[in-house]
Amino acid sequence: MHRQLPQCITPLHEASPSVQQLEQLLSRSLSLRILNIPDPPCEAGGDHAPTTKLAVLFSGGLDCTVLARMTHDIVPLTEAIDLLNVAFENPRIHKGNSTGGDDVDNAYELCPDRITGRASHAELQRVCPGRQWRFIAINVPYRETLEHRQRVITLMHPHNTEMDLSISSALYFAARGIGVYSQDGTAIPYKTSARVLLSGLGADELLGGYQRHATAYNRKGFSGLLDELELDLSRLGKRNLGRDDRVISNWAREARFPYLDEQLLTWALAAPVAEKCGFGEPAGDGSDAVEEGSARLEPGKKVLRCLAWKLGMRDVAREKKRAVRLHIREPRRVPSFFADMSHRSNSERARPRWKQARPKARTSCRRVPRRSQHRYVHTTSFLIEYFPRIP
Amino acid sequence: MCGIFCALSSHQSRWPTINHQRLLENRGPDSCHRAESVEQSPSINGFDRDASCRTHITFLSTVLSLRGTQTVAQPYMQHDQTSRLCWNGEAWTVDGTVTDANDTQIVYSQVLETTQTELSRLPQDDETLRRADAVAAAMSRIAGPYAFVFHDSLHGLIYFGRDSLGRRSLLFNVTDDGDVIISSIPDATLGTTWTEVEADGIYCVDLKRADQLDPSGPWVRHGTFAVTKAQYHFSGTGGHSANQSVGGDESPMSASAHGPVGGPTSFLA
Repeated sequence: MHRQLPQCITPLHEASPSVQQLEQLLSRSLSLRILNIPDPPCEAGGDHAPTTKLAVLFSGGLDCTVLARMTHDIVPLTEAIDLLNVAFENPRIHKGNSTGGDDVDNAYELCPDRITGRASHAELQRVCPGRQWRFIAINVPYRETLEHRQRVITLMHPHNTEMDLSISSALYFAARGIGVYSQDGTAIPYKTSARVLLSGLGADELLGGYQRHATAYNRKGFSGLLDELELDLSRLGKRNLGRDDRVISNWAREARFPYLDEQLLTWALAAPVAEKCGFGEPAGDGSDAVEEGSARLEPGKKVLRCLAWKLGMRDVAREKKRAVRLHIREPRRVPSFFADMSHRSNSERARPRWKQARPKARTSCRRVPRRSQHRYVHTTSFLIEYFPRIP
Repeated sequence: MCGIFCALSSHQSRWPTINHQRLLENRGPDSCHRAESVEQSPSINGFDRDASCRTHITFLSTVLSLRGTQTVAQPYMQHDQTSRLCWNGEAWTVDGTVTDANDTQIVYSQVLETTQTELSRLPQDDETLRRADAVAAAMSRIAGPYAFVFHDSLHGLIYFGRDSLGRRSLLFNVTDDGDVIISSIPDATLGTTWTEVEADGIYCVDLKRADQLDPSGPWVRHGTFAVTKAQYHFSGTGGHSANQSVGGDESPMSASAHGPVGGPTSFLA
């Protein structure tokens, strides 16, 4: 990896050479992964259902939205693209709504990923008119989370912590691809026919997008940041992609990772840190026209933010990392590969509350309930960021 | 995505349970096929063909067809060959060249060619290790996600592995009676002994070797079989240099890279 400390830093902006390099590499990586996808087979009785070949696992964040935006330039305009966005019911937050109805629907719309997802969808529609972007709202009632719990535990094995279960459940229901989309104000039940799902995973590791990258820079400067990045890259192969593969593929779909492309990875390793992130950039005096635009974007993954800016996605480019503080303790294991629910709750009750080690999470606006972390999937990206060391 | 199941047993033909097969079919609804071969190897004392030196190799492969115009059934085998490939992956490029045709056939030909190449004989050399190394070199030319199992029938070897980023799942299990099972997904009835195959190179099972195993050598005993590993070869240009540049020096088999208690155990750790 390129470990030289930057000497003289020029702020990254939309016309920087590294933004152009990233655009070319990402475009090539995407082309390999999304061109020539065969038509999905027609399901029996589903003749009138619209077919799509491609969907994006869509939290509305920078990484997946840039993929969606660039996909627009690669695949024919006649092809609709599905954006899969998951929200879970949390009985502790969505109180008294177990019978369903508008209140629960509204509660789904308040989930953080749903809010950013809707906003990024709207921006895609503005910037790429003429394309059908189908925003699939995947709402998972708590009852359904419980029904599928054992299957998810089986699939994610040998991973076995509650945190694995949270992430796996989110991917499992997203990849199932059953939800609703709205057309002319009507909600239409829908199941995606896409067999290829794009995932934005990898951008944070490659381009320094995690909050802990910023923390490392603030505490120890560039050498701290480089240590953190090096650790991330060396761990890529030991990340949880096998687990994710097992839960996603259960629905006869395949996740593809444009950021985890060999050439893109080689470039990211060789590039000096100042060509990827904006840490330590001098504050502009506002005199330059560029200063008012992309040069002012946040330092984390700045090269990708500048690319989003260049492609017209300015709201996404400005998106702030959600402020999250978290204290991590030992992740609790899911009780057993085969355990049924009753066994689990009994063993839980047998332990005094203070002994039940579990992560505590806090957001700027709302506290995650301490019990049963898995009931409330905060955001997938949030979980992945804060539990990277769980193998 | 495709589903892979491969079992090695010294005493029976092992097939997936109904539930396990269903999970494999979920991954690959377009085709599902079985295959079996029995390796008869000479025992240490000569050509004593009793049951004890027989190995049953069983495959079940399901396919989700996303490449080419037709579904290519697996386990894949060319008509005049006896070696088989179970391939779950996407070889986007080989040596930097974009692959247009079905990648299963391309990977098969590439590995088969490697296994059929004559190696110059050096007496003190372990020929099998050098073969495994050649297969690792061949796989290193591929850019893209994959997990695979290849049965080299000519030499009685099984190769398996995952791409260096671990983008596809492959699990390893040793049963109570010493059989080895390699599968994309776990079978819960076999307990919690499944481990992820490390994404750090190509693993090789020598179907004849277990009895003659030297515990100090590069061969590690798993059940009744001997397994070794060959590292990927990355030049830094054609494929990618990630593993060489970062963390390449650390022993990939070390357990230290795996985090806290409660995580899955790593293969061969």
